[in-house]
Amino acid sequence: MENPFLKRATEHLRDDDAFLAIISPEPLRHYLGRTDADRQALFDRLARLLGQPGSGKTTIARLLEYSTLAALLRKRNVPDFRELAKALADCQVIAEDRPKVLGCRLPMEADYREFWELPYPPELKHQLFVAMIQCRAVLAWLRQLENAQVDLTKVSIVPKEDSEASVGAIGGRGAVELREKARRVEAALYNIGGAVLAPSSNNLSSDAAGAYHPFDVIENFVVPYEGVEMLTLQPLLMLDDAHQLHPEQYRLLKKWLMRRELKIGRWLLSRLDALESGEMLDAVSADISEGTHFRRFTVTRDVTEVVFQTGSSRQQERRFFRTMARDMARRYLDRMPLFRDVRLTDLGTMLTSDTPRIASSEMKQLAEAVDSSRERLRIPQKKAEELGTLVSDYLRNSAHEQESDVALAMQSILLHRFANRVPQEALFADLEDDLEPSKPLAADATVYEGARLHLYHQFNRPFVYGMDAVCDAAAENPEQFLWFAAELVEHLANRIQRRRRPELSARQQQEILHSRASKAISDWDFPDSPAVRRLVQGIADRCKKRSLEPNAPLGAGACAFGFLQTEFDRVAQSNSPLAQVLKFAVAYNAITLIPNYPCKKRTWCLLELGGFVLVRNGLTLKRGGFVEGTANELMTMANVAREGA
Amino acid sequence: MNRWHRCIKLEGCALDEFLRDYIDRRERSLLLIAGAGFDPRSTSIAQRLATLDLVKKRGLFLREERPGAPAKLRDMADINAGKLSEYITDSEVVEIPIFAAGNAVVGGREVAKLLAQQDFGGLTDVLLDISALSTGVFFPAVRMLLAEAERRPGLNVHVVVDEQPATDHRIIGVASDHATPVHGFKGRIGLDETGNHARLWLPQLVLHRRQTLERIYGTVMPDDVCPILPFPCSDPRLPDKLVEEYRETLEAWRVDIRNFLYAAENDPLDLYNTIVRVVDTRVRVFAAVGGSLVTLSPAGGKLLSVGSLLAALDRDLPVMFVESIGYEILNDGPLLLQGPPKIVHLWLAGEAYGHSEKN
Repeated sequence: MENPFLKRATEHLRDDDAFLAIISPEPLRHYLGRTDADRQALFDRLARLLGQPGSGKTTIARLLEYSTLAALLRKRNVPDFRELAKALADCQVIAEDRPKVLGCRLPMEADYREFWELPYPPELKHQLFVAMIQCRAVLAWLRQLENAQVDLTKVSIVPKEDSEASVGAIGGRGAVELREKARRVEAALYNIGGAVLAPSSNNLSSDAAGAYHPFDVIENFVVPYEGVEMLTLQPLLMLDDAHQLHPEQYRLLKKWLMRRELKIGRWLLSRLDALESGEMLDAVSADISEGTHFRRFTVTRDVTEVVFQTGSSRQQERRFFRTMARDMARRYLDRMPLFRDVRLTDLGTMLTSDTPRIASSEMKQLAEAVDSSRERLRIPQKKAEELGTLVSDYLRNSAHEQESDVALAMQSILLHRFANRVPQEALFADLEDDLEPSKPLAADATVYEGARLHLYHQFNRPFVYGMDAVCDAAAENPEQFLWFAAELVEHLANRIQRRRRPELSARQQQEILHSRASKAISDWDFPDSPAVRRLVQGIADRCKKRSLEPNAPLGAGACAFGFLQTEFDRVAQSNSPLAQVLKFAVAYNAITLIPNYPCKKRTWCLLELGGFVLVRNGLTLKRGGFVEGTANELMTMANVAREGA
Repeated sequence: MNRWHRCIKLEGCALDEFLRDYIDRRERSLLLIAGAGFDPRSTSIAQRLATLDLVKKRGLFLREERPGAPAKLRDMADINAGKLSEYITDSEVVEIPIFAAGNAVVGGREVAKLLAQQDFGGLTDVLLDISALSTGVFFPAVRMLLAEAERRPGLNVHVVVDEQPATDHRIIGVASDHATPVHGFKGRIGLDETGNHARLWLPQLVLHRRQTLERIYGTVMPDDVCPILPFPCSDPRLPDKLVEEYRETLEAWRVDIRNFLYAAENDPLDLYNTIVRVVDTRVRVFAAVGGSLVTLSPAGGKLLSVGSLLAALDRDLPVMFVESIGYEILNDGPLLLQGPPKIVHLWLAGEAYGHSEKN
């Protein structure tokens, strides 16, 4: 049975229909602006889209390619596609059921980067590089039309008003001539970049070094549509993976694309590590205050900037992601006949299960441990009963009254907190009635989470299960969500085939998620991945130790490492080995950076562990708790000081 | 006709005899190009050549410089570079930067530049020892040397390797994050004119490189994938382990079990012939529907990589790879050779084939 969840990157889906079937309209609405003016700014100036791998940049780019839009519009009356078409209309890429833009995506692969390594002056390298982009863009636009079954002999360009004279230099008005010229330029440039030894700058062919500037000439394409009408389309070029370019090459490209005289739409999509350290820090700054409108979408005079994954507020972002992930899962399951035929397309309903419980022998062991703690801490029975009442009241009010094991673990936490909050001499003075903690004790959601975490580590009671937990473990990254969901779906499919109830117990889910997280981490294979692995494990060990203290001082527990913001600023500006490790850790979702976090009257920078690390180490998915440390400790953990990773 | 259909391959006693009776003569002059790296195999062949008395010997030792190299490995490379200079006294050690700023892969370009500056006049033989050279370096080096042999009919080009699969499996590359063509091996991939070709990708599966191969897949975007499994091989369970490790990935790539290619781990010509056969068949089959483009991705054992190299040279195939930004040694024990060197020699061009004529 084919499992589409395994095809995490949508590039793997070659067929437009298969691709469209799994695309949710939510990211379009979420990321591509809220107002018409916002959306207009995506097409009349340079737009820069930034995000981590798997955050959905390429998916959006592919959706906006012409052949995909044409395929969607052919099926616009299919209910599942109607919503997507509406979202695209809101984004102004289609209007009145017709495409408005001629989009193509160019991955900025090695072909482009190698121009920067040629033994030529920078101006010549830039000239060759942008000529390659332009000829490839022309070829890609025409290929998009061809893929959509458009007859190229009927396609032509509309030149800009003042560019009539330059039409000849790009091949002509007609698509066929345009393509012929673009192919000649491409082949000439390709041979320069691909030669084992680069030719001397004096020996470059006229096709390679001649004047070829189609972006300065083309305003629109005129294209036949469904055989009955001609559409005027604005060309849109989406340069994907631009982080692969040399930093200087990227800077010059950005400057070149910012020119206001260009009429084509142009997007630069890149990972965050394409940015300078300071810029990256700014871009990934996650909002920590609930409800603040944040800088996900920024429009300036020359550039529109869209940052994926850091949105309004982090809690809102998490809520949005849960909705989007459910929608994605539904679309993926709908492509699997095994699930579709029995109308099982809501992954969430298959991940609900009975409340997990520890075994009765373990329960007895836990009760004895709580009692012995009480005696050791010299807390009177009466006080312990009062704390027990607090716990049962909370559990009853929050519909968790069944969880007697959690109740005991919560009571244990409260006993330890109580002991910490009364003067020690009072505990030895038999002042049963006067014993009052310095700060009132409360049984609340954080104590509940802390208790669940303690039970997981003490008795292996499942901790991460259910749809919301799977979504949260993905840390707002669709690719990570699919990584977790793929194996859950595999197990569910197996149960359906064996005619078992299509449900996974909490324990099964926990085991699957844990093993997937471990596999993902051991598979990490990117620059500095060994150092990143050491770093996150070091942080996770510290977090675990702190979270498992008997009084659960951080409530739900720690999931981040905090060091002073001033120290982080020094690291970020230093280009030190640690800065490199942090950069790749952020770029590959191993950590999330939360700078300027106010706590205890100081400003911290938090390194929040990614979902894989949290699940693998049994740490809380709730945010906020952190262990304090220094940059030196981070260097020791990553072992970068000694080995210069 | 395959260029290396009748390629001369020597090992064991036959290789000893060849070195003694053919190479070790007063009228011969030899250039040994080898890696001066941390790999303990760096010195095996130089040590063997040091025992030859009559032939004039010169050494060009390439030290691949990577930004992420741990100090321990650098120390090992220093020791090996010292030994190489002792074995071949008329020699130099040249640093080859593998990455430029921004982690661009430049090793192939650098080695091509270096070889272009060499004086091959008066040489009868060039031995390229690839035991401690990476794919991104020795692929372009072989291309350059074969081009030189075309220009100088008297020049013999040999590739030698001390093949120790167990050592290869313990050296794990830390991948950079971009898949790129090996320098000089673009084979027209990415051109608009090949955009409609049916794309087949032949990745060589190796342990612990799943993400790397997924990265290459994302760049090649093939229509079909035929993974190469080493078999027969020194570890008979290796193909099973590979299929197990890549189970999910192979499913995502929609690999049919009948699509696996098996290649003898110790015989590069076996893989070479297999690839050439596949390529030629596809050229015929797809001629009427736009053409075929076969892309290779060698990894792991050196001899199999040589098989891919020969096929890429012979049929102008693109070779995609992810360069290593550094290396880690699996299992903490010292990286020692398991027993005596197992040197395999391939004679790629020169007098055995009637000078510069294509073989």
